[in-house]
Amino acid sequence: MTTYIIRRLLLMIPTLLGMTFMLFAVVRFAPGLTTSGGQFSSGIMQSRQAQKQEQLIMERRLHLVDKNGRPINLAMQYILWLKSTCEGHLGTSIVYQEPVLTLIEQRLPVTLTINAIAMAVIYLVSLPGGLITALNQGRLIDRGYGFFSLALYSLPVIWLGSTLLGFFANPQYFNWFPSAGLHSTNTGNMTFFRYIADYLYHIVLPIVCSVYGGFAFLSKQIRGSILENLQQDYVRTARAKGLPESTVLVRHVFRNSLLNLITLTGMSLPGLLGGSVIIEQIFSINGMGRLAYTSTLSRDLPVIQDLALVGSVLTLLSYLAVDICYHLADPRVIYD
Amino acid sequence: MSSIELPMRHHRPAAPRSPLRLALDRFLANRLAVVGLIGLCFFVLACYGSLPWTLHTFNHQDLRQALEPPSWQHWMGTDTLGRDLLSRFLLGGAISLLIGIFSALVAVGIGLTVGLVSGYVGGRLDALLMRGVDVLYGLPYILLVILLRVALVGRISDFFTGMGLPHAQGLAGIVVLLVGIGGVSWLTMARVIRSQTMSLVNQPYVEAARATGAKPSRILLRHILPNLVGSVAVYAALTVPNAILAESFLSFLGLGVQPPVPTWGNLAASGVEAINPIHTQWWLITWPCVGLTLALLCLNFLGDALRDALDVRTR
Repeated sequence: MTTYIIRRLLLMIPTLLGMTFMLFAVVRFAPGLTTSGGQFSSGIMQSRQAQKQEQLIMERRLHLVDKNGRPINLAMQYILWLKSTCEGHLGTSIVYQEPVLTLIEQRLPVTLTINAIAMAVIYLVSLPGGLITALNQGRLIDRGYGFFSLALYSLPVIWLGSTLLGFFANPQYFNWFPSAGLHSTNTGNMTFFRYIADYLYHIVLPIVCSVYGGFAFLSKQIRGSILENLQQDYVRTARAKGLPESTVLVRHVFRNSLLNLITLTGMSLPGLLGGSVIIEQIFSINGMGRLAYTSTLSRDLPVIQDLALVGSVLTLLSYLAVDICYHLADPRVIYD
Repeated sequence: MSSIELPMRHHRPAAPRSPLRLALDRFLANRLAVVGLIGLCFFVLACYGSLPWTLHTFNHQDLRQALEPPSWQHWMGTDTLGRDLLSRFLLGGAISLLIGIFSALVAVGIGLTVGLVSGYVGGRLDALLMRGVDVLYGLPYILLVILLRVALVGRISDFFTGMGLPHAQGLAGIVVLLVGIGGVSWLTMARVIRSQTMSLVNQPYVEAARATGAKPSRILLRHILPNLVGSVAVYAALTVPNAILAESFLSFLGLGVQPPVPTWGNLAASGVEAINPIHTQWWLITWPCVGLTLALLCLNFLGDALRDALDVRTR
């Protein structure tokens, strides 16, 4: 197994190189990035000299110019970027004037909390949902659940998000929830539990929006794999042995169906870190999605590059994690 | 000679049915799918049938009639510039459906080609193509679309302006979305087609075809492709609603099709802006979202039924 993991990690290197190359190419191909024009200066009340100095520092950081201020060609820019990234130096944001790592550290917990809670809710509904619909295949409850989960899946989040915001966070209708942000203004004098409660209260609407569309896909998958497992020989054997039906279902069918879930869960892990641009935009939450979106709009090159890079690495790692989990869950699966 | 008489059956045995016929039967037995199909036909007829009319009226402004609720004159009301929402809704639907269907076609085209070639040829080429798919899989797709759009929309818009077309910006947005969404949605398709091709290539009948001297092109087109039709149809049907949804997301973020060219996405986006504490002009946001939801619902019912009808595993 160790050799397998090492080999997989080594195999990641060409893929990662390809990703960095793609990223670099796409980002540099986008117009709006020139070495002149002073778009890197942040302050308004600055002397010309200071502005020029700052511009030069930013260009140095982006490896657009060398020590003497001469422009570097594209191939060399790519290599320099790779080199500094491999050494563990992520870039510095032009807009926020802060290291990208700091920005990620600020925003990742927010996105992660919302997504983790949302995912837990989706699984809590979909697992029993899939089980019940599979056991009642073709009956009213199966059809009804299928219909409603698909209907929910078809509701565009733009509409539900803005409608929830318009009706439940609006003094004119129901002012039940806060309309933006993650904290009340007076967090300073709150006890710890008050603080958590306040936080949860603020993320109710965003979580509703992240959750409702997820039931259809997951329930359908679970239903499918349970139906498949119900027809297996070992289920018949278990019933023939005289095991109670509940034991057959839980210990044999359900547990084996969970195997398929590993793949699904692993595939959704990168999305967990990414954050939904739409939801974060509607509810004014400063998470990862919004960071990626605003920095793309403002051509904040280092942030775009490094966010996508971090995302890609995490994606690759989670695929590896899926394969390892597969082995752990089902020792018959052996990689060599 | 035996004199035992076998009892004769009075009815002939049922004619064997083709897999396609069986799939069709399964599909039609699913009532939701039929509802979805009818609904979709209705949308397509309404949106595309009204094109000769809507193409002329969608941008007709009348500021005296701005923000009017639905009436007999304007069935869906009017927007902030006094434009008739019904014609904008219908044209928007036509464009949204076009983006959905066309990006699915782009995705099918690329995914099928890559998957077939990769699965049939194998070896180095397969490894190379699949690494390419891995690379694209790892990159966040929404970022790719946004960057593609930022990179391309200006150039295409200039090209359209050069050709003397009206609304060049909006048209360029449509083209970029078609290519961009299609260009990032073929990855799953390529993987599925590749693995199925690989298992089909080892089937005895393909071997037999090869033994009789059939060329690779004939084997691919006559022997392998027909067996892939099911998966292709399923994935295409699932790509269409996703592409329409992606269009609405991007338009909401201001990165999709630029007004005055309408799509359900940017109509909804401009409706969202109209939700404010003082006056809620519900008709601005309701219609495009109802259209979006119903069309997606029909498409999802269809896709779901197609998957049930054609998926080999559930047979």
